[in-house]
Amino acid sequence: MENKGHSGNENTQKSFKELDLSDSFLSKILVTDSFFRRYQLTTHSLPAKKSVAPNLTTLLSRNSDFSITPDSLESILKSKPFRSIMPIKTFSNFQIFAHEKGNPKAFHYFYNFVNNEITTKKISPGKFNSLFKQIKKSRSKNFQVTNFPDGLLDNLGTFLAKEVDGKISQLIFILSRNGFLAPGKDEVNLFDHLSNSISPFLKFFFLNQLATEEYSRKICALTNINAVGYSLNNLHYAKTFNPGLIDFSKISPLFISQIKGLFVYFLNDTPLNNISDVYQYQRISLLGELLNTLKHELSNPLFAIQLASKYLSENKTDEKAQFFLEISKSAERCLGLIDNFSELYSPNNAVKEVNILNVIQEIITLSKSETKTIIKEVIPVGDIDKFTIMINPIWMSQILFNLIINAAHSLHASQLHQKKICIMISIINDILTISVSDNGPGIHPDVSLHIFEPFFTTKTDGNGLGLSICKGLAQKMSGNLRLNCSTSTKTEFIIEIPITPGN
Amino acid sequence: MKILIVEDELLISLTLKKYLESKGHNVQSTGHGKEAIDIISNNTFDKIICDLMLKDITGFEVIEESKRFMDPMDIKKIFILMTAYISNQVYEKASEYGCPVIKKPFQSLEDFLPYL
Repeated sequence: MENKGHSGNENTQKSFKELDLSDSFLSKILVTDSFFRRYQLTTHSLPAKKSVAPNLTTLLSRNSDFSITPDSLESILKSKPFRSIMPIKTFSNFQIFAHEKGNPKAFHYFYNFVNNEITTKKISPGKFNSLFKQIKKSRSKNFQVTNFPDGLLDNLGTFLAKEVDGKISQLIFILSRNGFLAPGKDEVNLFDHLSNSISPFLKFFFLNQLATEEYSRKICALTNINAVGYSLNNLHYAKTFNPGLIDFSKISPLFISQIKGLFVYFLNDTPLNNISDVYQYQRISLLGELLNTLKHELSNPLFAIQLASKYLSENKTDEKAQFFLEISKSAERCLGLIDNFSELYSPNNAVKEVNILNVIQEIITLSKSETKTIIKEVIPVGDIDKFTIMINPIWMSQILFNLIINAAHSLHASQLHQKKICIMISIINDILTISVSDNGPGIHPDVSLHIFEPFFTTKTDGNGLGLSICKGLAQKMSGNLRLNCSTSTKTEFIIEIPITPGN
Repeated sequence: MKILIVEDELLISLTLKKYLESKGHNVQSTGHGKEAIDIISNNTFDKIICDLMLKDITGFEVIEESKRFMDPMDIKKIFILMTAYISNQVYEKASEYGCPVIKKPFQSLEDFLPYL
């Protein structure tokens, strides 16, 4: 919770204090006006009435230039400044195809210069994507409408097109004169200029839309009015940062009492966080698809290796048999890992009786190539006979493997003479505790705060998923994985899993 | 017993072939569905072990084509299906033919013996 160091005007500071920051939602959405500054918008705060709706905030700020609402893209395009940059004399229409990533619909805005009208229609993202790709492929950006599917483009003959790939949205601009005369060089330049000057605005438009939709969803959740459809629509107005646009006559009384007089502030980080959440979600679902494909593509050949080497090991008596047996075991383990990876999000929990010391020994063998020149010390605490336990050995191995490899990487990066990884195991009161520590350079406090976040990495070639997956696995086993912060000289990760003793 | 193995993962095919040969069977193999149909049209087999996901066509298509060369009643006696993608649809379809389905990865090569 911070104000990003911005001193702010008095009004802002005062209203802050009136907010009920104990509310978890509010506490997350602390407000600064840097969001507005960033987009060169000005803010305006309303006086707060303490009595109403202590839990709710809404964004009511005034933007002096123009307001951006999801419904007003048309009016903005038609406004004087925009119309003045449109080549209305030499061309007959300007089209925008817009797709906000992850949205099940794409939009087509057709601006007819002749009658100064804008028509909108929805198209499928599939159509949008194929159009996008087709335009992206072309170098000249000069097209014939006959090369495109019927009915998608509402113009004739030749046209200019340009695609813009943004983080939030993808855009296609099309400029056409509805004729067969190919555009000249000057016109191509003009079009380029036009597209370039409009696209930042549109990108912001989508950024705003994405952030505010999430915001209004949260407000609806807070006020229990999610069933009231039009309230959500009206919130779209609220999110335009312009209280003047809220038509209270159309909102349910309950909602009015909650929305009126609510102070407000925004939220420097909420909108942006929401967007990164969306990205994250997209990345993770992409990763899921990738894993599934990998699983299918790798399982079969791995199984072949396992089957063949096992067969060979059984039919040879010389020393080679041992090799084949080991190959088959490794392949089997890989198969298990792949299987396990894809079941990461399923409740399926294959618990087996294993000796945890054997599992650790196996992991040390597996990580041999990464831990060369590093001393590995395994210290079981207490009665070794009790180390046979019921646990998911693959999940356990995955966590340990990750921790050991991480430790090895940080040790290799250091100049230490005697590099050492120490693994301590104890079982007390049916809680298995494994500590994996190294005598490396340690983890900086700034880093340790984020260390379990997905996609957080300090390695140049890391994907930032290792520890986040490990923590997830530990939690799946009703346990936890944490970093011991009390030691500054070494790095120590601690796994704690409640277990059932084996027979 | 004369056996045909239709499996595009060559190492699996080879291992299975060697194993079955060691059990005294006469084994032929191919990795392509269309080639398999060709072979089936010119030979008779006691058993055909067929993977469902071949590079060119599916195992079900091999069965469909094979109906031209063999008594449809023999299909369920001759074909043994193998697949890594086991789903209800696959089971349903396989049970329409009455063929056994072996899921990959299978535990052991011996899993095939009961079907031979």
